[in-house]
Amino acid sequence: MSPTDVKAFVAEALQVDVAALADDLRIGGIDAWDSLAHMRLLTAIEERLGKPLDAETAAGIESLSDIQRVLA
Amino acid sequence: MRIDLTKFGHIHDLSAGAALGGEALSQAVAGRAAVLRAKGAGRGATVAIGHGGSLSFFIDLFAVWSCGATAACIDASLTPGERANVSAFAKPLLVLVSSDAEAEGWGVPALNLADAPSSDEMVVSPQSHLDDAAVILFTSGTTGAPKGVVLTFRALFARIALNHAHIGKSVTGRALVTLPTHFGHGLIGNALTPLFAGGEIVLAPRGLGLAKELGRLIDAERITFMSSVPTLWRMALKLSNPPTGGTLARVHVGSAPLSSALWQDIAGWSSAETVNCLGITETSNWIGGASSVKDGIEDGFVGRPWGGSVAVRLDDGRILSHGEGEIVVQTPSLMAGYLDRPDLTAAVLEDGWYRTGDQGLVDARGVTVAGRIKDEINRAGFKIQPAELDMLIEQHEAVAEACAFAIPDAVSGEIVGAAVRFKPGVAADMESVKAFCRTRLRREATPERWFTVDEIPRTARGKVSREAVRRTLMEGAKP
Repeated sequence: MSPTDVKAFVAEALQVDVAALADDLRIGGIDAWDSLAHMRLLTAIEERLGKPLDAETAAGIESLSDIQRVLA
Repeated sequence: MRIDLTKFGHIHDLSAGAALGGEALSQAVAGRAAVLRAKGAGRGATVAIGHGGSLSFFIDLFAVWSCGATAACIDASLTPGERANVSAFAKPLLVLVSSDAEAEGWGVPALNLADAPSSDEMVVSPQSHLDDAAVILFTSGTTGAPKGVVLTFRALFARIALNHAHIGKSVTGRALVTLPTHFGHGLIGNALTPLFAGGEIVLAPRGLGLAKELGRLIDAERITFMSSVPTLWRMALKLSNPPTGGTLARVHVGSAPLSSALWQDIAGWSSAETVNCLGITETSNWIGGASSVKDGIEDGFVGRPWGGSVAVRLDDGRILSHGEGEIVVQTPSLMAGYLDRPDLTAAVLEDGWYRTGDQGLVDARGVTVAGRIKDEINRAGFKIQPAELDMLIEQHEAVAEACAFAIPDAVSGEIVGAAVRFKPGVAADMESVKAFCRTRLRREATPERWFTVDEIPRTARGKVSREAVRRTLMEGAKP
């Protein structure tokens, strides 16, 4: 996925406007990206990948760039 | 109230890097109690505690009790407006805080007792009585009319004694506290029950960090017992490897519905006896539970009561020992009532029975909960009253009508949705409404999904049904 597509994907999962997502955004960086929303985001990533994330990979996802890496 | 703190195990505060127990805990409490007594705290007075989840919280709590006063344990994350509302209702003598940021908004003096010197002399209030109020826990009403559950020392001690009798020795080891201490489940079940049994408690930072580290933390701290809500487990099962040390003997899950699939997964991950608990703040937390080992895993099954009785109330008001209906309970750990709200108390206490608001089955095996009757939203174990949100949102100058409702969610169980009808002729500025709520509502109660509507969807009979609103908006419209 392109960086633009990743942002759109995250914005959809967090129910926010794409404009709210800075390039260096991390969990907790905006109100909408709290711990519970993060779990919904991980679930959305698993659905996109079509397989569950292992614990190490899931625990390593903390930022937009991490999501970009996992969905690449 | 005299509580022999020297018999307590240590309280380990991982965030503060501090631990205290036994004689040193007793001396720290005595020092803070002396300050409180000098400020006028005593029998009949309420002292608010506006911080939590720390060693300092427990020292403050025991200091309030040793003065013979009542502790109102209040969510530290409330907005200043919510603090003012709760404080005006509870009328505390003062509020205990742990930082300057927590001191804002109460309308009464705020005091940080962190630097109070310890004392060898524990003065016990000579007038305190078992039927005095020990704690007030607010289950709703931080913006509207507050609903404070008043629990006496007698109720607390009864609950703790019954918990010990039914849970067994796992609570005398080391308990991991994963829940807020303004929350009955966290305070009474997870923390006070082990402490009064002579066990130790470990206070860990909550949230995502806890979920990621859970297995490692259980091993590193040699945890024998823990309790939490289903949401933590949905997170931990995805983010953390299981513990390998073999110390964890018992896990409680409560405050929200637990599916049999998640129950099974928790039992497998933890390799511990996993108990689906029935607990309500109004009954001083857990009143029963079903064990994965002794009872088997089954949707909604919460086993037999740990002391007291359960029955069902039919729609016509009859109470039956077995059958289907609203679950009602009698327990020695029942609340005295809601603070200064005899109307609310009368609505739930009927002929000595407490109406839980849960619909279910009582049979020879115990209780099986099928769902809720009460119109509340359960977000990750936190109960939110939608009518309270309606009223707050409708205070916004552009809003004509609002309707908050529950949306099923795979992580939190439920999240909060809100439908908003704007006044004719004004700009439908939802961002302004969201900002209005963010400054007045704690995070967990703030709606996460917003819908602008021309009309609040109603039933065929013209009534607002939150379920009908949910169905219409989630299945038929875009946010």
